[in-house]
Amino acid sequence: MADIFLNNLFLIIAALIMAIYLFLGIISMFQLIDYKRANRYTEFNALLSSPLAPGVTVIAPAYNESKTIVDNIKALFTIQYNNYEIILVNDGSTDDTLNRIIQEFDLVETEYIAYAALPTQPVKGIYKSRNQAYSFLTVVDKQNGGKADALNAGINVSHFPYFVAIDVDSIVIPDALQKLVKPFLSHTDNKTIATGGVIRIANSCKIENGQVVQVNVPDEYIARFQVVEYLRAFLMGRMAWSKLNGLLIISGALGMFDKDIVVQCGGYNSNTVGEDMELVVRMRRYLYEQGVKHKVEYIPDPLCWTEVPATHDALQRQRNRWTRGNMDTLKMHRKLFFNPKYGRLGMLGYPFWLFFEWLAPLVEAGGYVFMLFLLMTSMINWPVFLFLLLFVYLFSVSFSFYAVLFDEFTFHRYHRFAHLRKLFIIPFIEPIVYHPLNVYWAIRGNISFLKGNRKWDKLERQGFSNTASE
Amino acid sequence: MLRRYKAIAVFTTAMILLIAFSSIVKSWLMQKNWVLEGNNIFDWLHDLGRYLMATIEANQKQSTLLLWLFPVLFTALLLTVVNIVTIALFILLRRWGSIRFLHRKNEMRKKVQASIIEYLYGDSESALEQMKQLKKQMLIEEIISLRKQITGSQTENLQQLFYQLGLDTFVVQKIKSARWFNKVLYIDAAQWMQVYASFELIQPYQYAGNPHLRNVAQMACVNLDTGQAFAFLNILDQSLPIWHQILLHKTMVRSSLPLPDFYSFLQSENASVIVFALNMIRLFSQKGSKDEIIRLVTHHDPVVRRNALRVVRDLNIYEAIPVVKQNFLGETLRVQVGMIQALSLDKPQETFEFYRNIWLDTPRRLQAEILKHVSPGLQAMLLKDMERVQIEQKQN
Amino acid sequence: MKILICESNPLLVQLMGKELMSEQNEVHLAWVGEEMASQLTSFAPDILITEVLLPQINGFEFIHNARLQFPNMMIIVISSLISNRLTELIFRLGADEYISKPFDPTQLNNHIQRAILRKKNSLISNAIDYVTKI
Repeated sequence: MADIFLNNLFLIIAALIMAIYLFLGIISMFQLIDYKRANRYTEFNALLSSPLAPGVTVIAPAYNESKTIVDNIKALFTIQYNNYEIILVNDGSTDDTLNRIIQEFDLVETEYIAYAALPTQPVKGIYKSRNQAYSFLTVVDKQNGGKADALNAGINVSHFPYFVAIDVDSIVIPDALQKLVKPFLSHTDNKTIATGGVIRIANSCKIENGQVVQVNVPDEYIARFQVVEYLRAFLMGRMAWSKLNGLLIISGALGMFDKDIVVQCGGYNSNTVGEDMELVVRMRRYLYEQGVKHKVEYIPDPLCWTEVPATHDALQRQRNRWTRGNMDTLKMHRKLFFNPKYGRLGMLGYPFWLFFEWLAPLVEAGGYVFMLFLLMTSMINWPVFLFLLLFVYLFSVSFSFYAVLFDEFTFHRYHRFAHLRKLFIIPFIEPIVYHPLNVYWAIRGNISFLKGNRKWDKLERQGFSNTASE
Repeated sequence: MLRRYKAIAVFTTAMILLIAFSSIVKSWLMQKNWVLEGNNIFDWLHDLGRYLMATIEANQKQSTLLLWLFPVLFTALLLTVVNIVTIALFILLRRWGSIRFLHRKNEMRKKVQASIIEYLYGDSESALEQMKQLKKQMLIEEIISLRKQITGSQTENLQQLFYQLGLDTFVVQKIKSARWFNKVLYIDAAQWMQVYASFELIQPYQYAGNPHLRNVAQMACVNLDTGQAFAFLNILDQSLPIWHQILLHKTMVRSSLPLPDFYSFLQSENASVIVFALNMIRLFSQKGSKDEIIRLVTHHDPVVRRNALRVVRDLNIYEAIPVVKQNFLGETLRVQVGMIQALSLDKPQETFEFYRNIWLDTPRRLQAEILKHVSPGLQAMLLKDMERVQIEQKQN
Repeated sequence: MKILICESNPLLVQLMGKELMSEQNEVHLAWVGEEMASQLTSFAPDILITEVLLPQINGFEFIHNARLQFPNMMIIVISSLISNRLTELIFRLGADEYISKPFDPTQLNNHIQRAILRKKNSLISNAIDYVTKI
């Protein structure tokens, strides 16, 4: 009896998951169409000349980036926006990151105020350039305290009502700020509190002076899998959640926030590795408690290119960290779970994240164990089993294909034939090779979370200087 | 209603279709022989489906759920395969540019561009004849996109072309009938080409539910109405977001319209309209009743208060300073930042005294903001004073 | 004179081409990102007229590279960018003249003549400076 029950359970779960994904896909499609229509005749350039456009602070934390830091900062200078400042936070680097910047941009230490709205590790100095051309650059040197702590230090010295948190080594396209700030300016009834942009993968792309000049599909297979994975996650997942107003996360590589609200709810939390997700959840929770109608938005334009881990080991560590970050946030805010007081966040966003991002890999692993059990007791009905397997497999393949199709129709970044050839193979191998690995890593993440590991592993990046010198 | 829940509608339809289709498939699988018997691929599928169904039925241990779901799954499987193949083919065909209409559209666009250039620089008569056969929407899109980038004598030629092609009547007609995202295009065109005949038609859209449409209609009316260009501000009860204000401001600057007296909108019930009026007063340095502005420094909406403070600072309304000082401590943080900036109007010594008196009652976050936003000289004075206070505290 | 015009709006680029076309000028046009860079290298123009807000390629980068490649070329930027800081950046990257959109295309020729004159003058005065310093 038990196995029939389990059989049915897995069947129902699988069918439900597929139906939900299908539904999200449809919402995303409409959302993309709407976005395209609404922005077809939009003059984003109006922001460049208008005195009414609000100021934006760009905060980039850096830790031991000595090799690439100068190029990275120069790349930030190409951002097209009228009224912005760049705050680079040197988070207690142990190499010569700070010296390099000081030399390159002719920085001098300025007097600063020891008051801070958000508590951080002590600030050692604040630097500004003597060269007028770099007047909008501020460098904060502080003791090491992690990414969240560095971002908080940046918020403390920022002047403008909005800030953008970016990874210093990700490549921000020139009009990213215009696109990100627009939802803040055009909301009518729901106050926009945060916006995020789609992240694209820069591995193997040709990069010159901080801009992607030629888009390529990555050479390494492990990065190629992530291309399709990111397309799916951003164009099909997050777009739908943006529409449903149930977004829980703005990815740490690029996101714009309303500074006042961030400060009011205490800034980034430096006790978790998932600080990007935790902040959004906390902001939303705070606003629900205050009774403020609000929304978090995603912009489908590819605004940011980033290098993703290209080796097994690095990727495993990243996924491990993501899982721990998820669990941390979910645990901290467990009060939200199906709590009608928290509206869409509590009734839709949080439960979805709990079931699909945290529990799904565990359930899947359970499924594998169950299957093994059936195999050993030879109770398996082979033809039916194979049929179901084939069905699930093809469903996931077609889902990936839809993601590629969405990209094709909207932003069309992989425009060569060779790109297509590479991209079309990925969906077929991914469910067999990459997906099980992901499940495995997620479980390892769960284990290390239970063991109490809350540390941030520094992501190993290959550095853009290598790719640029080709 | 349907538009709002279109995703749900599409999803349910898809599900219903799937179930309906699967019942057909089921009856197809139930039959031993069928119409196209003998066709290899379909036969193979038919046999496979029948075989699977038979195994499920034969196996007592399998649940009835699976038996019931099987036709649905089988249909879904077929559909997924079809899906994958079509998507791949579609993308590839698109890349080859051999999907006819896409290709044709590009060709057409090139033709439109060539004939516009021909009209401006070559034989305008024949170019005109040629253009009469081309698609009007595309002509409008191209003419407007060019018109936005240039000034001078060529703009008159473009306008002439627009009227010679009879696009003005086309635009009027389309504003009535097109879908909203096309309406935006045609209203915009009417504005750039000064189609005054469309004014009556556009007017009601100033209060449309769709913000994009509303905004473009407002801009058009500002340009087309010769009498009371900003009358809509008196009636508007929807909000006027900053983005719309930016575009309206840009339109005003571009066409150098005679400005209305924005002070007359400061009594409005709609807070966003007040904010807009305040911004325009500030940007065009309009003179008017200072009392009105000072009254708004204590308005119930913090956004209005903040913007009133910016007017106080930029237009040097010294009379507001006592009011600002009086309300300083009870304010929200963001307004307080505005107040700090407004107080920079006052003499540094006075401001210093003011901050010094309230310093001990001030929360840390506000102290930080004060130090961040005051002038460097004042900042040094305050910092020095703080040290003294701290030393005194330690001694006690 | 050889002139290359880069601009993302195909109609505008053709219009400018017509304005500048004359017996002494050879004009090439480019309105697709990739084409701009390749045209620049193969055509080696005396005057480059370009927008900076370009889809697909970064206009700032483009100007910078053009300046490195052809130190003596005239670079004229026609752009809808109005921000002071960014126009400064454009000049730092090596542009000789900046025209803001919307502009009068019939005046384009005059603009270019004036810019050439100015550049010549500054070259002469630089040379004089150089000589007098010695």
